[in-house]
Amino acid sequence: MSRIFLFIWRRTLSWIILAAILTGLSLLLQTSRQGSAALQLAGQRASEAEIELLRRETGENQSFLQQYLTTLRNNLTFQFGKSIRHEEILPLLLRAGKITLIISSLTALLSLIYGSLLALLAALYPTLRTLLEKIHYAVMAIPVFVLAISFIWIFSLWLNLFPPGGASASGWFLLPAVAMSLKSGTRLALFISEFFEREEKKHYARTLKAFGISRLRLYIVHLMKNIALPSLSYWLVDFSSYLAGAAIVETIFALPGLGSLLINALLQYDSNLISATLVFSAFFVFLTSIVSEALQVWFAKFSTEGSEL
Amino acid sequence: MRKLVWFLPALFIILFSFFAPAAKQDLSQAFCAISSQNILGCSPLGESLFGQLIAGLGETSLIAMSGRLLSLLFAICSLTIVFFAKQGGMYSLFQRLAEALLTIPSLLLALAFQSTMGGGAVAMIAAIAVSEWAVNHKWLQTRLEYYNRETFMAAAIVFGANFWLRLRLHLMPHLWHDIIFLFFTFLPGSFLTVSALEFLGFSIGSHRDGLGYLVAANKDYIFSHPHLAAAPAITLVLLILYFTGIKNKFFKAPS
Repeated sequence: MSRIFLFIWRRTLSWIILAAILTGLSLLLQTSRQGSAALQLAGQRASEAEIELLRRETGENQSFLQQYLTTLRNNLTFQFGKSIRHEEILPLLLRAGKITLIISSLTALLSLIYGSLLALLAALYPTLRTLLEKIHYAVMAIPVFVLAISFIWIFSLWLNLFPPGGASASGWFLLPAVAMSLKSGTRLALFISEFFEREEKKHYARTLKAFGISRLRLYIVHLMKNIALPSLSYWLVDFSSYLAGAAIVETIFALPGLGSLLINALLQYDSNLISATLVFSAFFVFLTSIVSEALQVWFAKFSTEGSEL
Repeated sequence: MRKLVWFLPALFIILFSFFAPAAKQDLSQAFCAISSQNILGCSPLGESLFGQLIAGLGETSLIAMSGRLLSLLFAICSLTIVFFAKQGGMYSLFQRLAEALLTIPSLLLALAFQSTMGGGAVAMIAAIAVSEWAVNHKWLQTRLEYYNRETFMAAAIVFGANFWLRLRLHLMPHLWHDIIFLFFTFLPGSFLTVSALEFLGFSIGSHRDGLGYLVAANKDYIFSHPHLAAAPAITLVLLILYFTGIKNKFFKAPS
């Protein structure tokens, strides 16, 4: 019990430090930037008095320390305050976060299925292993926006199977998720394949082979169980790359996710929204790292290397 | 010598493409067909697509490579501070900063930094450098700690080698290999980040367009003139494949 409490306490402390650094960085970037939210809102013909009024409204007239403390308090309590358009930031983030989370989760799921299958095939048919490496290099070299545009061209314009954009129906997320999962899935396949190769040389795997177990059963029942932990950890660590990829595919597929929200906030000089989006995205990644740690502890119980024989 | 044979043509092409004159606009030539004068046809503004590709190649390559070099330079500087600070406040400050930056996807960080600094080549290079600093710092720090624990370092201390001697003769040769490996390992990633920034509209503001920007600008004509978007995309993929090939051929991961 005390270990769990200590774990939660340490992670909470790490999160506070992380949020403090990220808030400071985003504010520093905003204050050192040319132009301001007040100037953006006021327009070119605004008088000095009007700009000053807007500066007061947006909080830009406060000192850096005051702005920092207010934003940090907002970020730590997940209140986030209001955007320069007077919209509550939290509902905005939750709405955008939901879309990004759907795309990211779908990407993660597709990459897990596709990656595991590809790795299993490469393990069963060793000649495919070299091919997998070549596919990996080729796929990694293709930028995600090129994949997304190609998919729109093939599946939306040519085959007319999916709509080219929008977020009104959940089925529409499939194309962006496939575009993103192609890269992460291939990466995962190579990772699993490396582990298969290593595990195969161990004593328990050789003994099982000597007892005449089929290759498929060896991989699925025994090796998969032992490589599940590193593969899952890697899969979760890769989650942050989905967020980066989401920023691009959201723009291409006109999806109002976190990436689009950040780009709009940057264009509007909305420092509150920028800071909130960055902290919110970091929170996603932070959570996945905690889940990864918890999974490591949980899966350690099921590792059967040597114990079954 | 083999390295030279691989590297020199690439260096020549990139430098040539950077100094080559930009393609001229000629609206009467808009969407012109492939001919001996325009090898790949013309853009919607009548510029030679081949000329645009050459200029874009130089633009994207030099920005990505400069950003990569600068990020390594930042990492070496921060590592030097950490090395001297040992376990003090500066040490934990850089640790925390690197951990914080690692939680944000590098593209989002580059986006935030690029929009802060405005347009221009310097802004984009700095954005790449800042977004990739944390990975470099963490990697090099882990390697430095690993070398410090090695027996040859313990032996050097026992034989009375002073700090500078240890740094010059024992640490730097090993770290140098790590630095070169790091440069080439993450270079394809830098190409992807630069092209993604260009694709999202963050150009460097010169009269030359990067490969990512060319894809974004020509994607609207994908149904009628697919080669306009396909050509820069393929060039970008080939460029990344080339540097991945160089990395795999010549630079193995340190043990």
